[in-house]
Amino acid sequence: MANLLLMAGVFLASFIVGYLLISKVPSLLHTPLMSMTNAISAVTILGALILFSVETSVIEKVLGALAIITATFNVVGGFAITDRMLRLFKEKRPTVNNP
Amino acid sequence: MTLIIDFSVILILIAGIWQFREPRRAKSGNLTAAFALTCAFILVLYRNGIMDAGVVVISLLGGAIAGYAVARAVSMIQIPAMVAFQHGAGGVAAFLVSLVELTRSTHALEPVSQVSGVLGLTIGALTFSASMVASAKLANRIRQTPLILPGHNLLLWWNIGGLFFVGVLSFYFTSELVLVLYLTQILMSVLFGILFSIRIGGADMPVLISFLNATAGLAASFCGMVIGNQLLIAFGATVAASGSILTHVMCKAMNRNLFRVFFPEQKKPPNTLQKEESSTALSSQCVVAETGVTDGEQGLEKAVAVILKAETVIIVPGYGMALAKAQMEVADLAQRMITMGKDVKYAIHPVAGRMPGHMNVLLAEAGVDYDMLVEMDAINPDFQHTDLVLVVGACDVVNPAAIDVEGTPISGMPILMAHQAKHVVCCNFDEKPGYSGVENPLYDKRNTIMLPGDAKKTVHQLLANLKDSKTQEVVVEKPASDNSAEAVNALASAKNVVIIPGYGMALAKAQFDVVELASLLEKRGARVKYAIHPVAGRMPGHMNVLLAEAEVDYDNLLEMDEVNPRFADTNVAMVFGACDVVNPAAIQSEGTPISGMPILMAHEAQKVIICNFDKNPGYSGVENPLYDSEKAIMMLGDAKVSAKALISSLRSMGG
Repeated sequence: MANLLLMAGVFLASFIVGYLLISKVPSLLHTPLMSMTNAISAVTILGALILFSVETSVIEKVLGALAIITATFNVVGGFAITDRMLRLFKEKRPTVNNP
Repeated sequence: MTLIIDFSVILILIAGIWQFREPRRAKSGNLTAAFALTCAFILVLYRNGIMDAGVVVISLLGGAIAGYAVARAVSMIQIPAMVAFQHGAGGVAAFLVSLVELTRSTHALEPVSQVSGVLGLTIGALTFSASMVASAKLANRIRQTPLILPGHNLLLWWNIGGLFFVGVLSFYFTSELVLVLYLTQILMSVLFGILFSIRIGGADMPVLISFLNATAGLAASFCGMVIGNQLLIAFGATVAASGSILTHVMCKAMNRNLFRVFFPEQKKPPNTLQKEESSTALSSQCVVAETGVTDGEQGLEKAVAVILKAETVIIVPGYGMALAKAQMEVADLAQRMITMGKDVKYAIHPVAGRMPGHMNVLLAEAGVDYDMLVEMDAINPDFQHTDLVLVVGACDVVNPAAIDVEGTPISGMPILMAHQAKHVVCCNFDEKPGYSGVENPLYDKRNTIMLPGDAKKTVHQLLANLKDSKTQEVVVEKPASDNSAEAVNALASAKNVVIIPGYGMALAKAQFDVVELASLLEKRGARVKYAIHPVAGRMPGHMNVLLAEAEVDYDNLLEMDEVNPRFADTNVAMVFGACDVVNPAAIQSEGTPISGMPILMAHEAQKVIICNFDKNPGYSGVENPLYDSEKAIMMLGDAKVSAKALISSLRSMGG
């Protein structure tokens, strides 16, 4: 029961803190934001790793490996693409006509 | 102790997100978040250890290399499709982990873990399939427009019921049977994901993709609850929060509620099955072979003249078009008229053809965009403002006797109001009444031109004659070049210019030309800003990414609330491939699908140059009165071409 409460608490707290922080993100950055959180959602890779912390059957190995591959694809691809995107967002350069 | 370490890792993640509040620090924010994930990864490795190091390392490497390679290779235009695809990959991982955790424990899982496991399974699997559909739609692998199956809502509710039932059932079984239940649950979730995403299309894609972002996070969180891992729960919850916010922002920006996006109200054809049979028979009777109507040489000339003059055209296809296999010719003719600058739509009667949605299928096969196929109730009010209706093999569905005459077999049947248009050109096989035996008074009207004969041949002749009449065409195209001159004049003297990009700019890949035009204007001393509507494009912030790719400073990308007060002082607002987001009907008319949706106030500028492909309404289907305003300078056609034309004209002016 205590365990349930802790987990629910962690979920709620993270959700609320995330909500407060992310509602401050300007719409300019919404695509990179989604791309980054998309990479973060591949945190299931932790779950996939934990699957391998005990003895596994063949079928579990296959499913686990598949989970690791897809999650790593998501996490690496997600962060890399976000980085590429953010590099495109240029800071103000000295131009003749600025307001 | 473990708790404290866990919390510090979560804090690092939060610090990463914190930095996303400023564009300048977003890049390091992204790296911080990646670092947080790496910490979590190492922590789990350290705490739990690994039994099959070989398998794990190979899988890790495989996934990482594939992920990195793809991330390097995609172009910015493919980003929405790519992000959707990655959501799907996250979904797969979530449901696989949940499945293994649920099935492997010899000892019974705690009820909490079991519930979370089933939820992780369900949400992960539906995120996977829905993301694949979304990704395919965004990559144009499948049609972007909504696909609505017969009884779609009912199917969805049954599916939800089934998911609930099997999910609950699985708590009461053990051993082999429960595995079957889990697999059923996964299959049903996959089906559910397909069902609910397949009918979302076009401008609603940003809502879908944001929603899937949230579900991917939720799936990860539930996954964490099965395992009892705080890090997984916290990271997943943050993503869920982010996705929820984006979903909310997107819905608000389009004045839609989430429920309506997923369960649209519009009823498509397949609802009136009994009526269908008789009425389809009606329309088929229209074209029953019967020869001997007067030769249409004169009629053809008249018809071509009418087509050349018409600005708005509605095509009414019927089963006769199917019989004559004329859909390709009809689509060609429509395309021809569009390139001539005409506004062309198709009016689809619910019972036209031999099966529900028959006309839609045929025209789709001929490459007609779904957006151009308009249902009866939506298009009927338009007929009275339409210059020309082209009837191709339809009879009773356009018979005004159904509403004008009492006591006929078709009295009371809803029809397409073709008779209200200024001109009607009728490409039917003959003038015989249809199955009902009711003469069609439409045929005898003064403004109706009958072109009897095989529809395929007739339409082909129309098309050929249109191509021949080059002289006429110059007349049609001349105003276009005048417009370009007018646009250049407006731009040459403009001090304040606001550029409004939309999905059309993305489609035409015109961002580089738009930016070139902007810098040219800046050199001439104008101040140029970009106005970014929150839902312009196919995902949140889509326009920002495209313009950033074209090296626009982000200081020049203004959000809606910031830019709207500026329009009053703006000399020229330039619209590139945007429609609904600058449609003043949203604030001026009540009761339209976009009423109440916040828009960019382009109509307040002194002049508005509109570089859209055509004058058709946007995704909402609401006509844009801006196009007809005195301020508007229309430059129809490919946005890239229009932008290039403006650049070269401005250059030739010198300065």
